[in-house]
Amino acid sequence: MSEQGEQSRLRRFLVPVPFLAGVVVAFVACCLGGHARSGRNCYRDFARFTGHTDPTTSYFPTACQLRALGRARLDPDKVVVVVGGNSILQGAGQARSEMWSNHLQTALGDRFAVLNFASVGALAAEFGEIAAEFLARDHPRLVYIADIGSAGTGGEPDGAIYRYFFWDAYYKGLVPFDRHREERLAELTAQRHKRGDEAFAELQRGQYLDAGVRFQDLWTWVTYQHVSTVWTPASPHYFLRARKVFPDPLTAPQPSLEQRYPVAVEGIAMKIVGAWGAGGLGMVQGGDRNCALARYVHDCFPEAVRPRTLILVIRDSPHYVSRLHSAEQARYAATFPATVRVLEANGLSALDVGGDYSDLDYVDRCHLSEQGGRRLAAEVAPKVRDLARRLGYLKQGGPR
Amino acid sequence: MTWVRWLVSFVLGCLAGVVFHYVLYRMSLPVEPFIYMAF
Repeated sequence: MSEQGEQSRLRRFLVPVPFLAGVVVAFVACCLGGHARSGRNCYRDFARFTGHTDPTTSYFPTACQLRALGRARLDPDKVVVVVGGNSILQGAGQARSEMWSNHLQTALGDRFAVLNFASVGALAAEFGEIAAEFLARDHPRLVYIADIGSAGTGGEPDGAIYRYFFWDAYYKGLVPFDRHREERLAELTAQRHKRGDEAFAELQRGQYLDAGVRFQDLWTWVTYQHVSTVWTPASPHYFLRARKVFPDPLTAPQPSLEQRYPVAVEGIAMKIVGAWGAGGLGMVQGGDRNCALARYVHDCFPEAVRPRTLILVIRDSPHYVSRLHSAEQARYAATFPATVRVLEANGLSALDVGGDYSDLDYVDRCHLSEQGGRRLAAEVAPKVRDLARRLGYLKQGGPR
Repeated sequence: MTWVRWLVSFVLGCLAGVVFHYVLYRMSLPVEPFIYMAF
């Protein structure tokens, strides 16, 4: 059939005015649906983000979803403890019921409410930290915990791996104003545009558009609740299933020592541990207030956030550290107290973790086992309680 | 049967509107796999 013939059939069949009206009505309905969903919590029985609810499977939780989750789960009468950071604090290597943050909740007691927003690969000042900033509007008595170490440090004020989350929250008006951050963002944005960073420009355009149109809030909810339309290698045969039906994939029996420290990854693990000894010290050289780590703190943690932030500086498994040369070991050991000193000099609280941990406290180079998680919770709880006391959160009749 | 054509056109328009909204979502997903999938 000729093209003209097809066009005339289409014209006979479709009437332009109702067709365009349908397009507009449905599109506006989707936008309104996205706005409506963004205020409601979809994560029932939430314990942590998993492989099926994080970006490793092309699932990108939105800022509004985390805000709705916080509002649904947190009691305004309690001191809120938001756990951010990466897979170490997410509890990778620990069964859901044995997550370190559950032990932290138990140790802290009923006056505290712990929410684990740590996510794979997230740096200390992204994702969970941004969520903590906007949750603090509803829950001003809030403590934020994150980690740094060989598993990740550094980044820009808008993050690194989870940059989408910052701009999502930013354009939806969830990120509190901070003059220094705004200035750094303006500089960074200009630099990125100048060097033709098209991926960043597209990210900004997409998040700006989404603030009005809300396609992420709507379709991420559909993906979680009803049907996933994104193919992912993690579930190649079941990728259409709603993400909520997948069990927490991080549940597993504790591996044997051979499984924790396979010979195949020894080379890369030793390289990372050795590099952290040198790189970590490099970050704290040049004065407590002027070194690279201090600049990172000033750029990425707004002034209002620093007093309520606790950074855990987590060591690697002694299985690898003990194999470094003596000079490397000394350099490695010196990095942690120096990092804590610089963080505290710049207004954060910090804790050196893992100095006396054993091979059994880890499930690999950096992730803690269930035994290690229990030890971590026991160490962190008094520090959180002390921080809450210093901030006046535990006073009778204190701010709600 | 004008009303049937109008109704069908409207329903098809609605479908196109939903698809357009969904396409915006798909376009916002990164083309590159998440960095941790590269390891």
